[in-house]
Order: sequence, then C-alpha cells, then structure tokens
Amino acid sequence: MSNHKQADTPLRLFWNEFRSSHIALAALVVVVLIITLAVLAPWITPQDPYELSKLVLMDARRPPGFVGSAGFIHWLGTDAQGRDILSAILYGLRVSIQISLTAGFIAFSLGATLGAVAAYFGGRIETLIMRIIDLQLSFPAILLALVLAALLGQGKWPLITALVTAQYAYFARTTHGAAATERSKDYIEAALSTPLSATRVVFRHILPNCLPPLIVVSTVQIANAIALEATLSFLGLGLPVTEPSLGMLIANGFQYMLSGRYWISIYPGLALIVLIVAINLVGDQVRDQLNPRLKR
Amino acid sequence: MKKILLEVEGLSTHFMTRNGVLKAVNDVSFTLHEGEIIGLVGESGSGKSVTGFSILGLVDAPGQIVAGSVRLQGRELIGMAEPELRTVRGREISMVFQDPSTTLNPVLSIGTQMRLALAAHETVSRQAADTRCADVLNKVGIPDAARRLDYFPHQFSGGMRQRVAIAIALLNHPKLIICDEPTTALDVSIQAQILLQMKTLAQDFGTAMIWISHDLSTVSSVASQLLVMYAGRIIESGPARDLLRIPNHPYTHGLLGSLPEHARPGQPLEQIPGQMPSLIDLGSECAFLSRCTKSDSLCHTSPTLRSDGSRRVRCHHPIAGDWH
Amino acid sequence: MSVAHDSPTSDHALLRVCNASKQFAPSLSFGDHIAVWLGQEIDQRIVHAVDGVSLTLHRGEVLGLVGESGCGKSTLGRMMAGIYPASQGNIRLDGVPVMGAGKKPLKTTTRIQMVFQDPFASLDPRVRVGETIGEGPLFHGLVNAADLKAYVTHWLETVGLPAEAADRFPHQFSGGQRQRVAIARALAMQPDVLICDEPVASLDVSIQAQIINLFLKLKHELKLTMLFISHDLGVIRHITDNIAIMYLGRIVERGPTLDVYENPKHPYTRALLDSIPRLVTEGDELVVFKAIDGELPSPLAPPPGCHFHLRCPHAQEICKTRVPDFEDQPSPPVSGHDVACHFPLG
Repeated sequence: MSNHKQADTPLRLFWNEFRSSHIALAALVVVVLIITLAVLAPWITPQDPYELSKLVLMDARRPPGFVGSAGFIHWLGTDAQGRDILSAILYGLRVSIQISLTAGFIAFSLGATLGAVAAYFGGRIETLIMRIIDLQLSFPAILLALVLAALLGQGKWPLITALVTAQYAYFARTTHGAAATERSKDYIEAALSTPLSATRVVFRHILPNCLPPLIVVSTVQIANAIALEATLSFLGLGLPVTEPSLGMLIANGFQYMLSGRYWISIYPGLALIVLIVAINLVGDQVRDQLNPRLKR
Repeated sequence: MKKILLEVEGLSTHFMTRNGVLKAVNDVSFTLHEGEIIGLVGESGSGKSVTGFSILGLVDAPGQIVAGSVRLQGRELIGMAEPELRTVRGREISMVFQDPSTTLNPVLSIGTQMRLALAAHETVSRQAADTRCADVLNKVGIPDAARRLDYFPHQFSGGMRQRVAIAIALLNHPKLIICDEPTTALDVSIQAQILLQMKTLAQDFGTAMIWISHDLSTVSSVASQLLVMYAGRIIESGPARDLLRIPNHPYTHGLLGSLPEHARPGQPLEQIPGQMPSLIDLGSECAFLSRCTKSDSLCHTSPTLRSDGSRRVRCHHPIAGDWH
Repeated sequence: MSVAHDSPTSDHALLRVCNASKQFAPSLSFGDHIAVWLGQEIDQRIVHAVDGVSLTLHRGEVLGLVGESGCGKSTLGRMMAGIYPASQGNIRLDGVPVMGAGKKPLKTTTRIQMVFQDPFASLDPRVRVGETIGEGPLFHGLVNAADLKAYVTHWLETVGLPAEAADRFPHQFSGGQRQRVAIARALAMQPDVLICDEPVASLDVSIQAQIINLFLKLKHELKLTMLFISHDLGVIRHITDNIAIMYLGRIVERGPTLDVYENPKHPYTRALLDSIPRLVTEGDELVVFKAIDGELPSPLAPPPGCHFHLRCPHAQEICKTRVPDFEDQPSPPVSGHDVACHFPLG
C-alpha cells in the first residue's frame, strides 16, 4: 500500500492542484464573494431598492459618491427613481444567480440522465434521444429561449423553463460522449458480469465517471445562463418589473447613457461581466486539471 | 577486442515533480562495443526506458539530465546543441519503440515516411531512395516491398508495422539501435520471427543494440551482455549467460526464481515480497533493503557497484564471486 | 476436461459450452438504416470471433485457454462469464443457460465471476475498494448491510490485503494490489467458476509470481473451478490441469496440460511451443528460433477449411476445403488428449 493518508481522496488532490493556480484561486474568491454578497443582500444593503416608499425622487440620477437624503453614500450613484445602484445590483445578482443556478441544476440532472441512459441502452433509445438533441442543438440557444419566453410569458418559472430547454441538450451530449467511452471500459464489464442492476451501473458507476467533463460544461453553462437570463430580461421577456435582475437594470439605464449618466447601466454591466469572467476562469482551470492529456 | 562504440558514465536523469525529485536514472555507467547487443532489463519504473531516452537526449521537462556523460565514439552527446544532436539521431543512433502504431504517422504512406527519414540525412534521388527503402523492407522480412511502399500503416498487421519501424531505424545504417521493448506488444509466434530477424540484421550490418525489456527470456536470446536495473540504478551487469546462470544480486536471483519455468508445475513460485520503493526521496539505504532476505545492518548504507573484472554487482552481500 | 461425445460421465460437467459461436457486426448507423430502407446493400464486415466451440469444465478443474491475440479467447471467456451472449449455440451452468433469452439478454447467474487483464481499468476509479467488493454481494443478498464490513474484510484478507484497504481508492494501490482487489471482488460473489482473462499479463515479473501463488492457494483452499485465459505458455503450464489451444476462433487441440506440452499433436501447438523464447544460460552460439511463418489471417475473412492451412508445413489438399473435427480421429483419444487436424503429429 502506498503511504497515502486516509484523507488523500481524489477531491483533496484536486483541490491541492487547484490552489496552486493563483488566477483561478482569485477568480474563485471573486465568485464566492459575489454569491455571498448577493445572498446577504437584504441584510447588508443600505436600502431596499424595491420598497417604493423609501425612494426619494430628488435623489434620482445622482453620480457615484453622492450623499442622499437618507444620509448614506450612494457609492455607485442612483437611477431614475432615486434607487441606490449598489443595492440594486446586489438584489439583481441575487435574482440572476438564483435563476441560473436553478436552471443549471435542472438542465444538468435532466441532460446527464438522458445522455447516460442513451449511452447505456444504445439501440433505438439512443438514436431517438440523441437525434432529438442534435436537432435541438442546430437552433441557437438564444432563439429557443426567446421563443419559449415569449410563449410562456413573464415570471420566474417560465424563464427557468426557457433556460433549461435551451441548455439541457449540451449536458446530454457531453454526458453521452463521456458515458459511451465509460461504457466500454472494463469496470463496466465487471459490473455486468457480477451482475449489477442497470440503475446501479448507470447512477453509481457511469455517471460519477462522467462528472469531470460535466463539471466543466456546468461552469460554462451557468455563466451562459446568467448571460442568457440578462439578455432576456434586457429585451423585456424575462422577469416582471417587481423582481428586476441585472439585465433589466442595464435596460433601464440604457436611455441615460448618452446623456452622460453612464453609471446606471455601466455598473450593473460590470458586475455581470466580472461574475461571468470569474466563473469562466474557474471553469478553465477545472477543465485543464481534468484533461487527461495535460496530466503531468 | 572490438572498438568501444558508446561510453555512458555516471548518467543521472531526475524528474522535478510536485512531490519531490524523482531519481529515475541514478549514476548509470556502461560501455558498449561495436556490433554488440546489450540487454537492459528491469521491471516497470526501474529506469530502463529513461536511460534509453537520455542517451539520445530525448528527456522532456520536468525531466532533466543532471549529471554524467554519454560518448559516442569519443564524441560527447550530453550538452550537444540540438541541431547537431539531430544529425546523430536517426543517422548514428536510431530507436525502435514498443508500439509501432504510435511511431508511424497514420496519414503518410510508409514510402513517404521512409523517404523523409532518408532525406533528413542525405540527398538522394527519388528512384535511388525507393530502391533503398524497398531493399531494407525486404531485409526485415516484408515481401513484395516495392509495391508496399505505397501502403499506409493501417494496411499492415501489428507484426508488419513493427518490421516497418525497424526498417526505418535501419535505413541510414546507424551504428547503434536502441530498442525499447520492441516485441512486447507482439504475439509469441511473431515475436520469435522478429527476434530472429533483429539478431541476424545486427550481425549482417554490424549494428550494436541496446535491447530494453522486462522479459529475461527474450533478452537472453539476443543479448551477449546484460545490465539489470532496479530503482534507477544498475544493480548487476555482466555476460548474459553467466549472469543468468549464476546471478549475484539477490534481486536478480529472486527474479529468475519467480519465473514459472523454474518451478515444478502447481508448486508455489519463489516470490520476492513487497514492491519497488517510490523513486521520490529514495533514502541512503540499499533500495532493495525492504524486500531482501539477506539484509543486515550494513545494508542501511547504499552499496557501491563493485567489479570482478567482467561482472559488476551493487550489493553488500553478493551471492558468489570475488569482489573489490 | 473430457470430450462430450466419448464420456458418459460428462453429466458431471459444471459448465458446458456447446457449439457456441460469436460474430460481431458493426452496428448500423442512422444513415445506414435509411440506406438499407431505400434498398441500398451495405457491406457489413462481420468478425467471426468464436466459431463453433464446445468445451466442458468440471468441478475443481483449472482449464487453460491459450492462443494469440485475435484468436477469440477473450471473447469466449466473456461469453462464458455471461457478458456477451452467444450468437449461436449455448453455454450452460449445471444445465441452466448462463444468460437469458431475448434480443438483449442479461446474465442470470452470479455463480460465474470474472477477473480481467488490466487492474487499472477493471476497478471503478471513483469507488472505494470496500464498496467495489461489497456492492455485488449486498445487491444479491449474499450478505446483509450489518455484516458487510466483516464480509469485505474477510475477502480482503483472503487475497492478502489488510482490512484498512477497504477505505481506499484504487489509485492508492499498485498494480499487483489492484489485481488482488479485483480477485476479491470476484470471490466475494462466492462463485463456482472463476474466469480469469490474462490476469497476470500486465504485471511485473516479481509481482506476477505473487499473483500466481495467490491463484494456486485459492485453487487449493476454495476448490475453485477456473478458466485461465493466457498467451503466456509458461504461466499456463504452471497453473492449469488441462488446456485448450485456440486458433482463429476454433479450438484445435485440447487435453491434459503436461501431455499437450510434451506431445503436441496439432502443428500449430507444436509451432507455438517452439516459438516461446527460453531463458538461455548456456553456450555462446546464436539461438535459433523455429518461428511460425506468416501472419494470423484476418478474422474478417478466415480461410476456408482448416484455418491454419496457410501457415502449416503439413497442409494438403483436404486441409483447404474440409474443416477438421475432433470426431475425425481414427482412434479414441487417450486421457482426453484430442486434436482437430487432418494430419496430426506423432
């Protein structure tokens, strides 16, 4: 037996390697920080931006650093209703992250199950599932999401449904590819010769071994979901005005861009970009680490 | 006495890994005469392949040749500039690998690949090149060679592909061929054909060979000298048949004893307990200490390679012989 | 091993392979299906991996299956282990088919287990060793959850691993230790028959000896019935009671191991035995091998008649047309040593 310690699990080895990349580590810190701030938004923001009675129109469209009538500093300025932009961003992030994570999780579960089932059973089932997915992937995700969002109307769940439909196919195809490779490995033959049940082979053996590529796709797809959700909201097809996400904030400030009041649109946009870039950096490192061809 | 072709002295190749320095090759020295076949045997991780690559300067980061010298007919290869080294590779020293499907380019016909190998070292007309390629292919036992120059690697069987790889290695009449497990991937019947062929070719061309393998039986049928490696070091060397008849190092002794042909059918085989230590942070004790039945307090210091003239052994308690 | 037709005691056969064949046809793609539907003929390259093989395995017997790569020995092993269904013929354990019927048959018995060649591939890298060994017995009710830990420990100790090994992942073990884990997994299902596909081929010599010794110990202690597939004639000679020699999908010779080694009757067996490199420790002459000429023909288009006739020094006209059969032999085989050849040796 090698002199490995008990704690030397694959996960720990993975973390040790991840830690050694400074960029990825910084990006991870940023992602965690943004998520924490977004989650804690109701307790840390100076103002509830959607409590209309607290808004003072006199404070509207003030530049960053302005001290409002409520006595606190608007670090990122205010919008047309006198809303504190920083607070609005944190609330917006909260909605964006909530929606994209939920959509990502559902798309992941649905796609991974479909892909693994197709690869394990093969034959007609595989052909049917994979052809539908190929067909769907030939349409741009944004187009699908637009059509669905328009059909289903505004609201949280219609939006999530649109995002899931636009994205599950990526998970399914990735899983199918990985699972088809795993399917031919000896340990699956060993499971067949025991024999174990199909459910156990798929969910305990095939799927966990498909996780590496799926995790990579997940990071990319969650970043995409955030962007997609912002796009839909920007176009007015996303959430209702009572629950504005980052996309809607950007849309609201858009008309003031040319009049020099850049902060209303720019700061929410920056928050969006920082989050998406950070997620992608984390994803890149994860992909490099999981790529067997780059192994040592 | 034949002239010395290759002198390797104190060769050490280390890999700087995240977990520490991995001493893959540690103070390896040997000499090879012209036309001689030397067998380099050891288990996986013993450093035998890395030794082969180090001679050709083919060690990639994180690996590094940290010490030693490799002289080909008196010319130092370690530290030689890459362009100069490239004229040595293929022309004076060539290499044959275990798996021919990874060394042959799948999208070029073998004729093209052979012509390229020729053109790398001399200018010849297309026709002369084709004649020479077909000639070498015939020599390694590929019938109808002129026509098969247009074949692609996938049109050959595994055994035939290995013959093509050997033909490419022979193309420039090198003085030395380093063979890294050239028959391991082949079936017994094909292996026997190729062993026979390589041996005759070495005699006909006067080519020297370093034959790297884990299989004592195949090595013993081609090599006249043996080097046994364990944990990055040569632990025993000498004339092949002497060494296999009377091994001096307990490891070689155990290895020979564990071959099924040395035991009565159905009886337990002699076995070496345990496994090779990690090459990272090797201590100062004898690397075989934990598996050795003859060890005592002396073995906590690393033994030196001692010689009795024709044979060498790295052990405090060699089984036989008069060492100094 | 005994031969089905000559032995009234063959009722005692534990595992019986009866005229089993296996062809692999590459599955048609979606486009191919459309092409076939439109009336296009498709050139299907069918591999005849196993071609009409019959053999029996008796309780407590260790049978060696020998052949070069591509001869179908691994496929036959997987058919016997219930991983691949037979295309024709059947494989029965105590008279009961190993696999169910239907288009996608499933294995119906747990009494045959398998050990694979490459222990780096045959263990799920993400599952702890204890679960790898315990999941089958738990699923099939050989042990209940409360006793699982002790059960796994028992089998780990049987193969010479400490109880703590259960909490580790495969990557924390060396090749030899992984192969021990793979053996423990198979044994924990309490099989009657163990199919071993080249179980020591990927291991180093010194580790190989340890695993061979483990098999010898298990053979005596557990009275295991084993099919031992290998291309290494030295290992086979050491561990098996009987052997069957396979060439291009067919069994060409079978009989007691030592008998076959000392007195091979099929020209292929003879040539195979002659081409094993031996440890040379005497003399200074060049060692001359008797190598078999030619290459293994492609199983996509095996030659007609005897598959070996293209490489056989004794081949005559009849060999090119007629498939030799075990039943062709003029005199009944002595001690079950049997050959499928028109012109057997000695």
